[in-house]
This record gives sequence, structure tokens and C-alpha cells, in this order.
Amino acid sequence: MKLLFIELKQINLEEKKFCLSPSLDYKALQTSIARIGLLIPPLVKATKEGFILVSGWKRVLACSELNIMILPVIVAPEETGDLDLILRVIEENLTIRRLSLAEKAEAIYRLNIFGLSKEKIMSDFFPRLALPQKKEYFVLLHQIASKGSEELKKFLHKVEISLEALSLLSSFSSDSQAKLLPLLEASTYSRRREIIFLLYELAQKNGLSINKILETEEVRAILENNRLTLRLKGEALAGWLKRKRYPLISYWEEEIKQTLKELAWPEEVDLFYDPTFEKAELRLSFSFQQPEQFVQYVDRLKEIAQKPIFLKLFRRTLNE
Amino acid sequence: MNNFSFRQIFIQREALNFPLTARILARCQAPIEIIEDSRAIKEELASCPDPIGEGKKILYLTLQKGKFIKPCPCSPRVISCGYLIINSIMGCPIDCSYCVLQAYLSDPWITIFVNEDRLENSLRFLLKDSLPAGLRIGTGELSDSLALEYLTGQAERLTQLFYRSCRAILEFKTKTINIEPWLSWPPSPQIVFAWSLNADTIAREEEKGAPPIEERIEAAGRLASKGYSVAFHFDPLIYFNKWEEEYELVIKQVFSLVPRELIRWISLGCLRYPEELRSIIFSRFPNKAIFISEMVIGQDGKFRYFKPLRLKIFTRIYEMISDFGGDKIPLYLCMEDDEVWQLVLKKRPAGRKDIIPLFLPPAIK
Repeated sequence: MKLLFIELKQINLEEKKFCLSPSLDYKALQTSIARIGLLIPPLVKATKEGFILVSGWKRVLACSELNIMILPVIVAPEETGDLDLILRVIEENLTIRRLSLAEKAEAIYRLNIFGLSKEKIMSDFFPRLALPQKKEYFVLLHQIASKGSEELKKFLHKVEISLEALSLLSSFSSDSQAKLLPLLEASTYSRRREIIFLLYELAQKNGLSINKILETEEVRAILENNRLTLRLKGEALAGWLKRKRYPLISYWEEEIKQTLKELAWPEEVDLFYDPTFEKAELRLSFSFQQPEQFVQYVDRLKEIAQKPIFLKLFRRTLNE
Repeated sequence: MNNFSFRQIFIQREALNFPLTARILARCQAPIEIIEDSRAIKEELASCPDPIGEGKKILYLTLQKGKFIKPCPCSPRVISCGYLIINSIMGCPIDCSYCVLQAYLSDPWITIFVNEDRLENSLRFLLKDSLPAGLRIGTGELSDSLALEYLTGQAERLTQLFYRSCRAILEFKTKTINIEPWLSWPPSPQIVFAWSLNADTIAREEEKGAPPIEERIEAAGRLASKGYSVAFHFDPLIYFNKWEEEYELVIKQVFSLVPRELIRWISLGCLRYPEELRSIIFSRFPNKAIFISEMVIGQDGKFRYFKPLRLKIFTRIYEMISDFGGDKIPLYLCMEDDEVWQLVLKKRPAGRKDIIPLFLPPAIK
């Protein structure tokens, strides 16, 4: 390996076989280079056709934006194998930051196509990538890197998602993924997981494809509602899916809400019920400072208890 | 008799010179590998697409260094039946889609603890102790009690230990029909053979590797004809289209082949599973409709049917059992709270002290 100064145009930036990231954000780095210059030379590989960039993509692109046309680079000789070089890329990145799931997928795929066996990747790299040593996850991430859409890769580069949820998401058609990814990206980690699992279970329950569910009038009304932010669309979709997936529990919850409304339940009195409806007990909570205040609440509650609709708050049955 | 095939036997070096190891090796033709610990199996299974399914074809012979006998873990805030479990085998060759062991056991292979002398000494010690009469001890929680009997002969040895016990009862809980050895032995009220039963459709679709329900009931009938006590576990009861008529058929069949006075107990439990099992089920059994019913997560973190639905199922099954078998057979509910007990069985046991006497042999009651 030797240090050389080369012209930026000598580097073939179209060849991305050593690039792990599906999108590169280099604005902060660009500011830094503009201030104090390039500190660490990128690594390139010499080939007959010129230089291929191995690591330092953000640095090179930032220099290009800044019109820095001559760069110091470390040159790996032509005979250096691709596996050796991708190992350097992975090592370099792993020591300074956490890889995104998209980058992990890419790292696994590259290691494999450059000659490392599945078993070796799982035993040596999965622990370092904080991945459970399971073949199903090797297959999943390998497939995402080799066949996944660019949108899915960019999504996985930006957000965290559990591997179980990703496994289900990757089984959805590309059409369905395209519809879901923007709102999944705007949702929280747990909401993301909830939407994916609910969609999967509802599709199983009703024998429908995910796309069919996303094409229903109600879902389209949510997805196409321009007054909602992506995050709110995610919330609304999760709510709709939950009502469809758990119709009875949703009905009971709604009924309690409606009953409280009809009873003109005092806002200051909290009513608690077991959200799974396992326990029949209801619990009340209210605060008071004076004895009169206490009596007022009790009188109000007594009045409510006389109304026939009050009984609706008690034991749920299957006949409802 | 149904035997299972194994693709590999791993033997931990320490477990080599034990009589049970020798018995298993003499009866199983699978290739053998001697290892220092289970890491090698873990690594091998890690590259399998279905480690749980593949683990069912691997035997690991090792030593039990912890306790062989432990209380059944049950669930918090439910009524416990006071069961003790024998941890001599962990893992089961039968592949039931709903099996909680898929999530409960940390290792997917079948572990057999070969230091049976230590197990037997622990049991002798326990049996000498003043155990509550009617206390049940069983091998069928972490495995099927008889599925590997053709390899281990362990149930036969345990039978001998319990023959003379006058308090504790040994229960063999199984889905198999491996009962031949006992057909020539005299029965003892301290030994009870129990079958897990289900609706025929569920058994066919969800209990891969287990004999049909009819054969299980026939096996119970054969043992009963020799005077043995038997028991049945309708667990997990599953809510599906024809649940009522299919469970009714099974219950009718039980009482047509097994005299009711030899049925020592029947347990009922509705389908339930911990959250960790959900992703395992989705990945191993992606199109199983039984797991897509509307369920709620209870206080113990397990998915269950709604209480009103469980009450409906239990009440109906209880009626069927009473209609065909009368009301003398002790029934209990598995992992249910006192409210469900009261509404279904019209009793509210205070705890184990009220439940354990249910299992006493009829002559002692």
C-alpha cells in the first residue's frame, strides 16, 4: 500500500462494490473539510481501468462538492483480493460507529460473494454486528442486499426495526412495501412493529394479501389523507388494523368509552378497567381536598349508578 | 409402538460411562460424536433454516448437575395443581405447532440426562419424606413421558420406584402408544398413564409425529383393561369451526373404551402461549389459522382467548364429560384463576392443599 496524490476524476465512482451504505450524508464532513482540509486519505484499489474507491465515500464526495480535484489516497495494489478489501471497509466502520441494518445486510452479502462461507460469516461476524446467529437472519439479510428494493435499503439505513418485523415486512410485495415504507419510517419503533405484525396477522386471518388490505377503501382513505402527517397516518392505520384484528376487544373498549360519555362521567374521576378484560373489577380514582368535595363526587357517582346504562360498564359477554 | 429417527447423537465426554448411555447407543443407530460441551451442537444448528425442527433429530447425552425434581412453574395469579416435574429429558421428538417448549427451552435439541442413579436417589429420598398424599410427579412437562422409552427404558425404572410409594403418584403424560412393557405388569394405583387428547382435526394438523387420537384412546383402553389407572389432558383446547362436535366425538370415544372408574383425573386447558412463541410460530408454521384467533395477553404475559370464550369452551367440555362420564371424575383447570374455577367447576380451591387430594386413589379418598 502506498500513499499517492491523484486526480479525483481518476477514481471510478460508478463502481460501488465496496460501498455499504445505500445513501450517503456527507454535509457535516463537507463543512469540516472546507474548514481544515481532508485529514484521512481514502483507500482505493488500483485496476487497469483506473482506481476503484474502497473506503472513504463521504470524504471523496465531499471533496468533489468542494471542487478539491487532487486527493491524497492510499492505494491497494491490484492483486489485493476483494475479500481483503471489504474486510478493511467493515473493520474501519465497525470501530468508529454502528452499522445500519442496510449496511449490515450489504456487509454480509459482500463477504459472501467475495468468498467467505455462510458459516464463517455467522460465527465471526454476526456477534460483531450484534445479530443473533441464526441462519434465517443470514438468508433474510442476504436477500435484502441482493434483491431488496432501493427504497427498502434506504429505509433500513435510516430506521431501527426488529429482525422479526423485518422478516415479515420483506415477505410483503414490493407494491405493499412502497406504500408502507414512508409511514413506517415516520413511526416509532414499536408502532412500526405493531403495524407490520397486525397487517401480517390480519392477512392470515382473512386470507387476503397485504396489498388487498392496503387497497381497501378505509385504508386508502387514511393513506391518501393529505391533512394527516405520515406519523399520524401510521397511528390511524395501526388503530384501524387493531380494530379489524381484535374486533371484540375494540368493540368493548369503544363501548366503555361511549357509555362513559352517555353517563356524563365526571372528567376528574378516573375509571380503570383491565385492558384484557380478564378481571371483572373496575377501579376509581379521584382527588379531593375538602370533605364537601368528597361528598359531591360520591353523590354524583351515586346518581350515575342509578342510570340503567351504568350496568353496561360491567361484565362483557360474547353475545354482545 | 412408534419410534423416532435421529440423525446424530452427541455425547458429552463425562456422560460416556453411564449405563443409560450404553442402553441408548445399543438401541439407536445414529452416528455418534463425543464432545466437551453443547457448543458444537449450537454451532451446527445455527446454520439450519429451522433449528427447532432439526433439533428434534439430535440427541445430546449429558449429566444433570442441577436439580432433577422441580415444582411445575405454572403461571402467576392462577391456581396451581401442585405438580412436581422430573427433569430427566428436555425436548420432544413430536413436533406440535402450539408446543410451548419451542420458546421455553433454550436448546432446541433433545437432552437426555444419563446420570439416572442420581435421579433415582433423589426420588427415593423424596418418597421417604412426608409428601402430601396425592402429590403428582411426572416426566411429561419438558418432554413426552413415553416417546423415547424405546431408547431409555426410564419410565419402566421409575415405575419400579413408585410401585411401593403410598403417597406420591407418578404420572406418565404422553401422546404416544408406547405402553407394551406395562401390559405384563400388575397395576399400581401410584402409577397413572395420562394421554394428551385433542379434536381429531387439531391432532392431525397440529401434532406432527403423534399417533392419531383413536390410537391413543385405544392404548388407554388396553392399559385400563389390565386394571391401570389412566388420565386425560384436553390441553390445549382450541376454538375452531367444528370444535364442539369434534371434542364431543373424542369424549364419547374415551368413555366407550375406558371404564370411568379407572379415569383418575381429567384436566382442561385452553390454548395459550407466551409472546416469545409468536414469532417462532410465524416462522415455523406460517399458515396456521389457530394462532390468528382474537387473543389477549394476560397478566402472566401469555396470549389467551378472552375469558368469556374460555368460559364457554370449558363449560361445554365439562358438560360433555359429565354427560358421558358422570360427575365423579376429578376435573381441574390448567393455568386458570379462581374466578374461572368457580364459574366452570363450581368450586374455588384455596390452593394446592385443596387440589392435591383430588388425585388420591379412589380407595384412599
